[in-house]
Amino acid sequence: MTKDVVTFTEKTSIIDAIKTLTRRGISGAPVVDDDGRIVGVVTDYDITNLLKTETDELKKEDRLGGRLRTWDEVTRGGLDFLGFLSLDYLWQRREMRSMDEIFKLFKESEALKKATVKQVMTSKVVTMHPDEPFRKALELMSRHDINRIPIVDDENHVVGIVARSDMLKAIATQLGGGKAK
Amino acid sequence: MKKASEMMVPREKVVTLKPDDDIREAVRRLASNGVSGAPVLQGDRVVGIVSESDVTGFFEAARKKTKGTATTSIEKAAESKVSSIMTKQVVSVGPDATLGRVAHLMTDRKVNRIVVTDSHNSLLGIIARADVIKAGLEELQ
Repeated sequence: MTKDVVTFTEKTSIIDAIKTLTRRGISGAPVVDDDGRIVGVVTDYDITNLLKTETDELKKEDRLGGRLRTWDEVTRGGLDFLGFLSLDYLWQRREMRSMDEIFKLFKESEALKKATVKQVMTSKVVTMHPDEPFRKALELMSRHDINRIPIVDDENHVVGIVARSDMLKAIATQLGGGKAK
Repeated sequence: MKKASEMMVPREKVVTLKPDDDIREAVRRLASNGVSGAPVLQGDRVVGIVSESDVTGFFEAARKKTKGTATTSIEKAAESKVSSIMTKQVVSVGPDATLGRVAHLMTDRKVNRIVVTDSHNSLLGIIARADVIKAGLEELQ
């Protein structure tokens, strides 16, 4: 397990969360309160699905065909970065604004400035205790279809994290001691 | 706006597998290269893709089935072929696909990696979710 755990708070801005995840090369992180107790998890999938749903709704209502009124109307105060990048593709097909204009709106968006981890995170977190066996992590990841398990102590403080890539390395180590290739 | 060819990890750096490789080799290659997925090639052509989720899910299923000691089930499972766990429906784009299109495909098809291929389905490179987000952030700054 990794002990130097990247965490966010509910108030972390979405943009800061994206930058941190990108810089550290990870796809998600636990969200903690001021005492370091776990309150949720945020992943790039949470960040990603939001606006895709929003733009699908707008397409159904045929609102993407008209002039874009405000960024807030599109994002409804939420933010999805990958989905945002996909807007260019969706909108160019309807001959709407260029990506430069969209980025300008994005930079000036009040919704973006306000969007926080709290809006997209999952509060139901699957966790493990440090004394539980490593293979339990694999079982939990498979059962819940998740990629990371925060390790918490008796008071729910985050003390570590196990990711799917850690499981792969553990299997590799176990197999490595076997037949030589 | 960036194109697929500018965002991808180029062919020579892509970790790949063959359909007849055993899973032991898949694990070794994914873990030692620190990648979360690998295209499966027959010659130059992409015939499938294997992710670390496919691999860990497979081992978990094997462990549950055999109920033997964890060691024996893992060793036995490792002998299976990559072709038996790979996803055959691979999401791909051409080298001129835009950042927007790649982002849309990843969101729409719920995949974490997309292969870049030419008109003969030969592998040109691979784009992972993190590569798209990074490219998007660079465009934004």
